[in-house]
Amino acid sequence: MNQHWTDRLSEYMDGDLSFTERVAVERHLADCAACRETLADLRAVVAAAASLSDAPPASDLWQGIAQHIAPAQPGVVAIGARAAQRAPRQFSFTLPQLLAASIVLAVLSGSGVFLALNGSGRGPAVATQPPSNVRQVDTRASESYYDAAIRELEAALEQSRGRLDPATVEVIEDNIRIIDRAILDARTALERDPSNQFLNEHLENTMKRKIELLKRATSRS
Amino acid sequence: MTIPVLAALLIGATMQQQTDTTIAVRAGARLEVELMNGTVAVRTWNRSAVRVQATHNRSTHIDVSGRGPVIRVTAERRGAEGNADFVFTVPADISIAATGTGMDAEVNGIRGEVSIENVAGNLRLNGGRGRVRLESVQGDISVTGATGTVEVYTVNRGIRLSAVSGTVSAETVNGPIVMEHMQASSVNAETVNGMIIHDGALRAGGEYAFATHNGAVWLVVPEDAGARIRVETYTGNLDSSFAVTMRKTAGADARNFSFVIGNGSANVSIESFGGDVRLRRPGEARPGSNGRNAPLEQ
Amino acid sequence: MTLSVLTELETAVDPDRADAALAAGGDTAAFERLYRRHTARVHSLSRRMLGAEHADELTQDVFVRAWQKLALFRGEAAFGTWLHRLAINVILGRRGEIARRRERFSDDESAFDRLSARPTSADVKLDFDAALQHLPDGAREIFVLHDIEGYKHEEIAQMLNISAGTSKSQLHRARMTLRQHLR
Repeated sequence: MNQHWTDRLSEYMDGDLSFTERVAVERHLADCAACRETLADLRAVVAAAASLSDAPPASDLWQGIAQHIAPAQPGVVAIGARAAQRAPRQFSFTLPQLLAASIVLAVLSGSGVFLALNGSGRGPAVATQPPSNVRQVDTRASESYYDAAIRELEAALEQSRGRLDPATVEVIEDNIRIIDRAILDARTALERDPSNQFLNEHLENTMKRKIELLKRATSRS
Repeated sequence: MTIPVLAALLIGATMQQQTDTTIAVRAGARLEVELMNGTVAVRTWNRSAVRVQATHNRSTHIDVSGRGPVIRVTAERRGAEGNADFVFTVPADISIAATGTGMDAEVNGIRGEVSIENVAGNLRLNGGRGRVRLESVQGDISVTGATGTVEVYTVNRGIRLSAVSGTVSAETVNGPIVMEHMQASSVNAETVNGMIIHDGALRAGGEYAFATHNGAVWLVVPEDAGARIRVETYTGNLDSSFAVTMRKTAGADARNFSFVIGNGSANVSIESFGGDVRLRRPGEARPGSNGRNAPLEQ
Repeated sequence: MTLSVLTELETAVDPDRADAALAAGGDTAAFERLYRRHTARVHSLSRRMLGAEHADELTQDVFVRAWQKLALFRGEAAFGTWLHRLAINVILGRRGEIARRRERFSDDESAFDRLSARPTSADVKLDFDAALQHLPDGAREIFVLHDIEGYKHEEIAQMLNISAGTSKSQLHRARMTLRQHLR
């Protein structure tokens, strides 16, 4: 078999040859039964490839996937779709002792908040992902953890108030009130429409803004 | 005029001191500035040197030290930060880090990294390349012409970005975020009480996310832009100056829509709890489009 | 200024679209439904590209990545198409690491020869999928991408960081070798 000709057969079949080259191959094919047979073989390979069907995996892989999107044990954080879109911000301020010791705000997931409280005598109470088919419970559970973080930070802010310039304190308090109003708006709306995904996420994001503001306020004092 | 008053006036007149020092630097140097209150002005020259000019009172000491590529300038008073007005003249490729409490800063012409941390004061940056980060609590922040990873945070007041490219993150609580002549490939802008305006390129494959609680979001969509736009609002309205074909996104929330413009290659996400979402073409009326700067106050 | 609006509710027509939107909001049950519908395709692609021993792990990686990126899926293309492209990216990202583990990356001439020998019995027909596994890595990947997944040589050249000419010649060698097993 003349390899020069057979080497062109795939390109010929796929339409990748120039006009002149194609004519030359066709002329050769007219005279060469072996090449015609090879071409037919190649067509069969391509047809077989196109007709392959997809087989599912032998074992069920879902558990392995579920672990990475909804952790079953404390301390493991999940990165949800929402957080992937809006990456958590790194603060360059040094964290005050209180924050470093007692509160670590972990990465938000799409439907829940993971908050690890350790040290300071509170014990390792950690939120685990509530079942995904109970969205209302999600928000309530995550809200209570946010509320705990906010209370801690407000207490820290109160303690450090004396070290902050009064004008700055006023600005921070004004803005906490602005965020509080926004949180109230979202909560009120959620009472009327508890399964509204946008509202759930918006409430969580707004609470997160409050925590970020409190962290910045306490770290600057 | 009694003698004690005259004496007091004379003492006052000599209270302001001047410091003027120039230090040679190599390429890739970094200038670190620390003060409590005062002003920081930075401009550039062609020399491989940093000139430090400061005006301050007698009890404040200006400490200038160089260690390797880092020049540290501190206004010091009784062991803590003091007050001073600085003018720095620097090579353009220098990086700058400034920390203050009541600082007004204006930085011009820098082609290096810029980091400014402040509490109360206005920050203005023309330039900046690579990592650019400005943080404040009370005060306007304005950035023009930066390119790289640009992060701007304030709490009370607004953010104005102009001709910025790269990856942009802008957050405030009580103030608008106005972005014009933008060339960024990724934008994340969030405010609670304020409007968001984005006027600029929506680049192919880019990611743009805008979120506000009770402000309007104005998105100017260039004629040749291709974007998939998702809008979520609770009580706001969506209005567009050009025709779009909407689809309700699955989940059937009342005011969630998505639509495609052009080849749909950029991803845009707009969220507003109570504010309207407005889509416009370039040149159409919007806040700030009449030639005057869009207000940075609500 | 008025809005010209054509609203359609598509949830009834396309379950993928509905489930993708739910999953993007954090609904893991919806994501599991998507997984069940698309795992065969992703697993087969992984198996053909990088071998049976890595297919399970790769499939899981693809779906975890899909979960993370769901916010970026806007529902305008079919979910399956989007997922497929994401799977290709994950697979291509892993192939270097896997190939280094296997130490068999460049064109392995002896593999072609082994496969090219005629089967001892005229009745034996190796399973086509199994035959794929005996091709050298590069040729197999190119064959899968071109003849099974339908990519063009220019696209394959970019994905695998080779020239279009190399893609064409490797494809041809893969086809010539595989034809023995269809007789």
